[in-house]
Amino acid sequence: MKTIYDTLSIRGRVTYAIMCFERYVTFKYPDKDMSAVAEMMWKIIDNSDYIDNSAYRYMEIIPEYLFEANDFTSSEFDYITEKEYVYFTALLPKPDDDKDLNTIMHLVYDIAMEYAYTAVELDASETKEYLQEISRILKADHITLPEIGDIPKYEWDDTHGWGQPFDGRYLSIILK
Amino acid sequence: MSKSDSHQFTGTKGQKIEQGMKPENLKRQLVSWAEEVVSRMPANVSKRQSDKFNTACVVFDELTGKLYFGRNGGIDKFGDTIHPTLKAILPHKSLNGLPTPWNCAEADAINQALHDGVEFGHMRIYTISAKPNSMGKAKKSCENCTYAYKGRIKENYTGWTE
Repeated sequence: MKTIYDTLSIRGRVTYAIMCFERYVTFKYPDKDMSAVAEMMWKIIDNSDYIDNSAYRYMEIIPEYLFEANDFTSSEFDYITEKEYVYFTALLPKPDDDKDLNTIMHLVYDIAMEYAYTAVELDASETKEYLQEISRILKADHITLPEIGDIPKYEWDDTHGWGQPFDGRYLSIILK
Repeated sequence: MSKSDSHQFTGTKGQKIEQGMKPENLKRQLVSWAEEVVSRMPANVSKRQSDKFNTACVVFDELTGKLYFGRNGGIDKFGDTIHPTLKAILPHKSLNGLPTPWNCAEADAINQALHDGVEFGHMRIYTISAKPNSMGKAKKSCENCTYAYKGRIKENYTGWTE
């Protein structure tokens, strides 16, 4: 299946998903500073840590996991601190209060981890479906989708589909 | 589930071992093991922790017929010591910034086999997805595992990164 995402590596697709997240929260929560959330997302692709470690750290603030237990102690987080827990639970809506935000944030994680611990399949079609789901959410809210053009293109032979690590923060509309 | 529960043994000699090493048999037992891991997760395990389980691998020792089951994050999760032989061949830094080399399901299963005295040359492996929506789907080994195990183990039925 040909899509506009074909030229993007896995890291490129994570990038595009983050760009969509930023546009969603900017539109839905213009008065909230989501930069701490965005920062955790951008770390997934910048090679500051192993991609699974970065994704697992970020996973802890996805609303369905962040609010899974009633308090910090019983949450038994591996990465975030109590101070971060207090901050993010005050910042982010509970999953049932904004299901679309929860879905977008989860799909960012899903794209990053779809081929963790295996080889990226040619075409990586599952991750394209995840991006299409995110796009559907933005379109339903009449939110303009980000441009793909600035994202580094697919270099399959060099990186087996993952794409080179890069600092995508220059593409952020939140981290300015 | 305790670590000892994760081992299952089958066959002893001859024909049983021949049967046991067939890829379809390994896959069937691996899927069964992965489903059991999910179903036996204690109630106090968070959804976040259970959702992390996405890959399972089995090592078949063609000399004894023993099976060694592993999962992604298995070595860290259960506090296993990484066998010195495994530590020596895993890339010291993950290739291309990809996942932590010892977090793969292959590393967990191979680590157990090495601790039990199995030599690489007698190992045959099979790796699957353990995610609910793709349980049992064959998975190739990642770049790190391909670097570490290709040419060492006897057979990888689900393939290498090419």
